[in-house]
This record gives sequence, C-alpha cells and structure tokens, in this order.
Amino acid sequence: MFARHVTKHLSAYYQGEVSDQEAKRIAKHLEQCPRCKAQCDEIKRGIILAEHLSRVSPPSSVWSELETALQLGESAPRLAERTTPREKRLPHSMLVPASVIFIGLVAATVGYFALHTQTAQTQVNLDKFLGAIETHPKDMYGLLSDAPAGFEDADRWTALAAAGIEKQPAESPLEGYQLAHHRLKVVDRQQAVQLVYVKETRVFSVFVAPRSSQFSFGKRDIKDAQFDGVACRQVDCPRTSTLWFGAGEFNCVLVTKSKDLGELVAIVHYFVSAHQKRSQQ
Amino acid sequence: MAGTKDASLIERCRAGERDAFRVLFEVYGDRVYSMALYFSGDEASAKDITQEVFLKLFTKIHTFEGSALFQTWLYRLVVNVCMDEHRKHKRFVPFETVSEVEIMGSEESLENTHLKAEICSSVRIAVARLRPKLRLPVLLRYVDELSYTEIATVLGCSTGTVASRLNRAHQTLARNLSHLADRAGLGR
Repeated sequence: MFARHVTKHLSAYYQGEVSDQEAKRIAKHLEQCPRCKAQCDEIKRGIILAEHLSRVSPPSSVWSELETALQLGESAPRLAERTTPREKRLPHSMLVPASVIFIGLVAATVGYFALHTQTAQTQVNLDKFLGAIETHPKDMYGLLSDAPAGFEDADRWTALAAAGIEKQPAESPLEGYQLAHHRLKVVDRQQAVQLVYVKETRVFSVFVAPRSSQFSFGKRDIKDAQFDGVACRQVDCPRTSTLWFGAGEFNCVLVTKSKDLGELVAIVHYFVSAHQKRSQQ
Repeated sequence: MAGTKDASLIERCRAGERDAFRVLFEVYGDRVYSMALYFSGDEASAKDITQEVFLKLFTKIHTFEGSALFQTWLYRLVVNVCMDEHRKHKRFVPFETVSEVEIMGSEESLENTHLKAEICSSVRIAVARLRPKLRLPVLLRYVDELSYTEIATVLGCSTGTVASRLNRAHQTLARNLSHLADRAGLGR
C-alpha cells in the first residue's frame, strides 16, 4: 500500500502553513517514509538559508530624487492653470513680438538639428552593424567580421598604434585567437579602429576610438554595469554581449557572441590595461 | 502598520500632503528597496525600481479603492515593476554581483560575523539567480513576511502554487549552497 507522499507540502508544513489535521498526517508519514524524510532535511536547510535575507535600507538619494520628481510633477499643473480659455487669442499688441519669438524658435531648431546632424557624422555609428546581427543571427561569424560603413582595411601596425595596443605582448586578448582583420575609419580627423579576432568558427570585434569621438547605437537600451572593477555600459543587442568601456584616451566597444564572463573580463582588461599604461607615459 | 493608520495615511496622501508621502516612504521604503535589490541583484536597478514604485504609488494612490489591504496593493505594484524591469533587461548578461551589505553583529565574535556575512552574500546571489517565478514568493515570504495566503493574493495564484514554488526554491537554495551547510552548522 503506497501512502500519499508529502514532499510538496514540506515547506508549508515547516512554516506552519498547513492545518492541524494536515500537520499530523504529514508528521506521521515522515516517520515512515525515508524518501520524504530525505527531502525534508533539504527543505529545512533551504528555509534556514533563506532566513538570512534581511531588509536593507535604500540610500538617501532615493528619497531626494523622488522628491525632485514629485516637485517637477507638481509644477506642471500650475503652469497649465495659468493658461485660461479666455487667453486663447493673443491681443493685437502682442502679435509682432510673438512672431519674432516664433521665427527665433524656428531658426534655433533648424540650427540645432544642423549641428546635431554634423555632430552625428563625427560619431562612430554602430547602429547598422548591430542591426545586421539582430536581423540575421545565424550568420554571426560573417557579420561580426564585417566592416561597418567607412571602415577600410589598414596596415596592421598602423591599426594597432591607432588602437593604443601596439605594445601589448600578446597578439590577442584570448588564447588561440588571431587578429584576422584590422581596419580604420577617419572620424573628424581622428582614427577609429576595428579589430577582428578569430579562432576557428569563433569571432569577436573590438572598436577603439579616441575619447573625444562618440559611439552611437541607434535607439538601443544601454545599461550601466560593473564587473571585476571595470565600469562599462552594456548595449542591448540580442544574442550578443556588446560592452562599451574606456580607459585613458580611448573608449572601446566589444561585440561578441560569447556570454562567458571570464572571456569578457579578459578582453576588457587587455584593452583597459594597455590604455592605462599609455596614459601614464 | 495597522489598518487604521494605513487608511489615515492614504487619505492624507490622496490629499497631496507631502509629509504623508514621506511617512509612507519611511514605512515601506525598506521593504520595497530590499525586494528590488534581491530581485534584480544590483543596486542601480534596485534604486530605479524603488523610485518607479513610489512614483506610481503617489500618482495612482487615488485608484486604491480600499477593498484590499494597502500592503497587498503595494506589493502587487512592486512585483509588476520588478517583472517589467526583468523583461526589459533579460537580454543583458547579469554581470554584476550584489554588493556586500554590512552585517551588524556587535555581540558576536569576528569569525561568526564574517561567516554570517559570507552566508548572507551567498544567499542573496543564489536568490537573484532563481527563476523569477520562484524568486518572488521567496522575497515576499522572507523580506515582506507575508503568509502563503497573502503571497497568493499578491501573485494572483493559489496557495497550493505558492507552496509548490517555495518548496522548489528551498530545494534549489539548499542544493546550490550545500557548500555552506557544514560551515553554517546546517547539518545534512
């Protein structure tokens, strides 16, 4: 005769969340069933471990930022209250200065976008590079090796020097990988570099640009992260680890299929240590 | 917080009293932040989640009808914001480990204090690695001290489901942290 096993009820039993009748049934069963008895020790250990979770107070900045947000929210309705339906039509005497303001705003907007477009052209734009990977994830080997627009094959030494890693003793941040492609793009009279490292069917790409150049990633989410003492930003690109980090005079973007933390740390440290040494010279 | 005190505070919040908002934050801030911290595994996300929860709470408090306990309504909000954050970031590799939290143990020996700190840190990391379905009941039970019935109400499931998920979570924690069992005197 098989008794009903009680493993599913053990947490509830030990935490006093079963009826008295049920508790008696479970206790009696545990005396006789070695299988359930073995599981109950495991459950008890899990409960004791979970009891180590304790409440943590938020940093003081959480409230102060909330308060600021609340104040900003409160000021908006007050602004709306000042504009009453009666004031929809401007009085005649205000038409000339209003039109001057309007023309000024239009001019400022046009100027802003012109400047912004010009600034955008000096950025190292990886939006399409990442977009291609998102669209065709099965061809990651080819796509990660590809050159984004404007990047041309360059002399190896020139590329390494432009990337600030010409003095690194190891050719590659990871064992077994070789530097397969080295490309340059001139961005606002400065050089951005793409280095492609390959090992059999594995590949990763590292972009290096001077600090004054900006990387752009389209509308992708970017999240601050920190690991192994290095602050970096993680860019949302599916099926890749895309990390933006920097040290000294350079900032870098790593794009790889790998999610291996050890590999990612090794690659970041390879570039960061080279750039730090360079800035100390 | 007793029901009547909650009711009075909520009415004051509805009336727009800034002091009442502050009191509400002081009463529930620890619970919300702790849940956010252990759920997300990193302080930056925990801050974002906490602020979003309270901003939503302050702007939506007029929709709280009073038919359920305020706490239940609040924890549902926390769960929803945590899950939204999780969905937004699930394509990110969880690089960041939870930072150490100071363990206050003035009466204990230094060795015990260090051991406790190690266990707490390991438990937090192990909890952050549980699947969200298992992580949430653990946090609602151990951080917010809710009963199985209350947890079921917050999560919108049966108490049987809560019991089952907590069972699996306890087993996973015990297996993943078996190396701590002897040192912590948990026995085998």
